[in-house]
Amino acid sequence: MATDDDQGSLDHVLARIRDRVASKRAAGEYPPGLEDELDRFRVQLLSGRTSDGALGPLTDLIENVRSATDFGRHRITTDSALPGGTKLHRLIAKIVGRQIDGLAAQSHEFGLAVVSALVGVRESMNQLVAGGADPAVAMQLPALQERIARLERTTGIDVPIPDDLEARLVALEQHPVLASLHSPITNDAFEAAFRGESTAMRAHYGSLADRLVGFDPVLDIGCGRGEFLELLGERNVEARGVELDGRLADAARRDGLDVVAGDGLVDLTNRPTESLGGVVAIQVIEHLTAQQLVALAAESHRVLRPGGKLVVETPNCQSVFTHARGFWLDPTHVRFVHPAYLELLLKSVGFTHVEVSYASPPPDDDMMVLTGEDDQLDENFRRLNALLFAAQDVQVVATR
Amino acid sequence: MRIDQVIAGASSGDAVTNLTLMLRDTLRTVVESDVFAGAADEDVRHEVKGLDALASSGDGPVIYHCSIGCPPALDALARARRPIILVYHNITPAEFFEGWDPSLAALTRRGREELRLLRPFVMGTIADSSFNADELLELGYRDVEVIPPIMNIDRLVELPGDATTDVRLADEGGPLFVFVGQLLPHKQVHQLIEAAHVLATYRDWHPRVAIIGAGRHQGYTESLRRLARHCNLENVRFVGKAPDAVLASYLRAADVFVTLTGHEGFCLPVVEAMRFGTPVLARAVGALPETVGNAGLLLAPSDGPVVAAEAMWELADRDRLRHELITRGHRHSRQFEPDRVLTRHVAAIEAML
Repeated sequence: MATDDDQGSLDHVLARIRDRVASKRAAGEYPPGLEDELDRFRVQLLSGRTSDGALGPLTDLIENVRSATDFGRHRITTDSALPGGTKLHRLIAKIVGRQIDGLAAQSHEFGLAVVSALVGVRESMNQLVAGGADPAVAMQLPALQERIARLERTTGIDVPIPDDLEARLVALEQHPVLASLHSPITNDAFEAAFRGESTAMRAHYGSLADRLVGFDPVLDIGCGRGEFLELLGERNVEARGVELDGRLADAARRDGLDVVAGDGLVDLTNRPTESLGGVVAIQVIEHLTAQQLVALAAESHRVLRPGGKLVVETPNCQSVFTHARGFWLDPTHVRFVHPAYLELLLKSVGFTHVEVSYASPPPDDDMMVLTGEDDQLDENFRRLNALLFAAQDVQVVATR
Repeated sequence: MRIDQVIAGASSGDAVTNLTLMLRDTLRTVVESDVFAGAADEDVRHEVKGLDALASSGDGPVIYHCSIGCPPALDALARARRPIILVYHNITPAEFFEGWDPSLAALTRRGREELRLLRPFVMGTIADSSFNADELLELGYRDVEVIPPIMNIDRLVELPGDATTDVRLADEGGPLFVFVGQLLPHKQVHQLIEAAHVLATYRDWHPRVAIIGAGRHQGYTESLRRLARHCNLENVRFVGKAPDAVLASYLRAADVFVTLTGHEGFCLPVVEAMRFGTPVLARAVGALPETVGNAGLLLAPSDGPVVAAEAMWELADRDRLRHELITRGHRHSRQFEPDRVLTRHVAAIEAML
């Protein structure tokens, strides 16, 4: 029989193997997150979960309907227990025979149509859930459920801050982007007061404009004075703006920009299907009702060509700073739009890819200052900073 | 005097069917004995009777082999009103089938419910392993006898291999890992493919991996093939349900027997591999610590495919470790020799009467 020493030697072998894995991990031979990657990969590929069993009831139903489509005179009994009854029944059947056959033929036709419809339903369900079809489609269902659950759980402060937010904050630190960057009150005087900030503004939006190169024509909804249109023009992107505020539209036109006064959503709705390469809505959706936002998403999807981009920027509801300092300065702001909801909405209207990123960190001097001595305290400060001073804006680029 | 046996289904190559027939043959040397099955494959149908015949077959105890829910078997036992001896081979927990096969999941849940229902009518209980016995104790059973399953562990070793397979395996050359078992989600065959992927990608090592066993669930089997295809693992081969001669060829040529299963009530292929002198790599789940003992390398349940891959490399590469495990395997597997196990079964049954 094996002894404890035997077990000891095998434990030693296992320990050696695990040590080797650990040191290879440390040396980068096994990349970080390898197991997670394998998990994701596996989940994606083991998507053939739905067995025939799941669609079995439907198959049974189809068979039942199919077997009941044998309409005809032969299934109507003419037997009767009464004296002479059978003879009478047969006589009646003979008289109305043609009519019965006609009805039976119609019923048969209807039955076949029902069977064919059910088969179609089963095929669609198979397409949707069976592994062989499109794992990406099946994969989206749990992801959507998870996202909805997350939204339901969200209480306002219990919002996950993206992992890379800190890195983004560091990267953006050199930009003197201020809380007042985006004019909360869209009138000419207010906008004019901020012209001095246009350098910062251009830096802020330059990378978004880069995303639209090659995607003309672009429609900028709520374009204001047309700063973003200017950025697009510099990149040789053909673009037109729509602005509700007539005075701002006039000012933009005076600067030589293609801007019309009007309701951007109406303009969008009147455009032909797949006629645009890009739709821009910067600091707009927080002015919309929930229903208008849905319309904007759906109409943008309709008018964009396949591959076209929808670019959205809106105040970040996950930043307490934004709630307290900026958002409600503008009385025409209706609601925050949570990026997770926005992503869900855009995907549900058909956008294939939705990128969410964050911009405009609050100024450093508003943040809590770390002691540099008490690690525990500093960690708490960092957490509070992350929660209170999360980036002020959410930027979303959705691809049709 | 009669001692009959009841099983849910009979099929050739099925461990429970085989052990029932072996026990029947032994019992028949002293008493009358038949096997009653809820369903039977064509090739073993002549060996068994239908459950309907149980009630009218006579008196005496009935040995009920339980490994899944089987409402017809329970009905038949209830109608027969004969004393019941339960032999528990383990029921795979339903959660392994959830999302894959709702009907199988329901059947395994039903199986556990049936164990609860049967308890008051059972005169004696045998479990394949302490792991299985513990499950019964948890359900309120008492005095559970632990005896390994009856199996002809040298059935394959004594067979000549399949000539074509032998030639092919020799021609190909290179290390060979073999998994034997039904392709069902709880066997976690996907982890073996992932380990092969890790070996290929991060060690640039492409040993052959033979996955042998019947595909019991179409969706899972297809997913496994898809996984191997997506990982570009041409060296992973799905052999399917292999005839004994082919199985013998593979086990004889194998460098390592490997299973990364998530649940086992016993795992007979491990013992067969030991008889072939093939080192065993397995996972310490279910009854495997008992079945493998100190004669194989047992990964922890938490060890993922990366550790499994390194262990596969270790076992194929280290001659001293291999020889040590081969020697231990021969020694350890002796306790499962059918004569010893049958004697223990008969003694236990006798004591229950």
